[in-house]
Amino acid sequence: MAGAVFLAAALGSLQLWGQAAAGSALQQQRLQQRDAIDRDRLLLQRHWRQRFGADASQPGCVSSAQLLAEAAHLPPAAALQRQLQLSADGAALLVEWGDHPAPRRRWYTAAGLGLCTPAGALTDSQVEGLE
Amino acid sequence: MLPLALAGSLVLLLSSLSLQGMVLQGRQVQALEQRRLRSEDQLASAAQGLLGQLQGPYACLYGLPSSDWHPEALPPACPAGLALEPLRRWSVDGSPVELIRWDPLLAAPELWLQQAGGGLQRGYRLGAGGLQELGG
Repeated sequence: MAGAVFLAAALGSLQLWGQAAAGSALQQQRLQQRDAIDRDRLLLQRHWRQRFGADASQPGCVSSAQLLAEAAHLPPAAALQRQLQLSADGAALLVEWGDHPAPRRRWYTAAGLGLCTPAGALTDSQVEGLE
Repeated sequence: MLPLALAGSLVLLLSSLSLQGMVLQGRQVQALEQRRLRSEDQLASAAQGLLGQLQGPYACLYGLPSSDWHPEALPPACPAGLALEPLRRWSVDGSPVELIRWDPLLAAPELWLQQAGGGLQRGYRLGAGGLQELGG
């Protein structure tokens, strides 16, 4: 009788421990994915600035298609999915990370990335020329 | 022998239940964190889109604080009948975001947004490297 009670409790406990361990592993995996997405997001932004920042001295904006093409050249970290898509009007780029049904999504525009120069603005060399 | 087995069983079950409780609590925290990240993504996306409009079709309003945007007194550069509502109430993937403040007169222009219905609020500063989040 005592053995049977203890065995039943041990089996039940083992099952609960198993569920807890699986849940904990899933949480850990999600944390790692969140960090990987943040890293990839920052890397992408830095890459765009390095690639197009110098062009920002010219009047106008980098196009979203150019942002997409550059992003496509920068592969995401292993085990991280990244998808790129232009908005219907081509004015913004959607970057989507992770799996369905709950991917992370951010829209980017050249203006928001600091890659636009208003047509009326003076470049550094023009300012120097006036001085 | 039976009391000892019962006590041992109770300890085993209680420790497992306690562990399970901790995992469930962690899952709740993670779900909240996930929701916050999603909100931040929406607000950051709205900030990017709004700035795109302010340096594009709504460029005539770029240099004017949003507190001075009045339909009857728009800058002469603005086309007649320019609708301000699309700028004041933005939408990201179907979720409405409200413009709280655009202030281009600061040394570094600032943009403040909030999820409709009193949701998360975030501010962004426009520097040479683009929009930088200021925090809630």
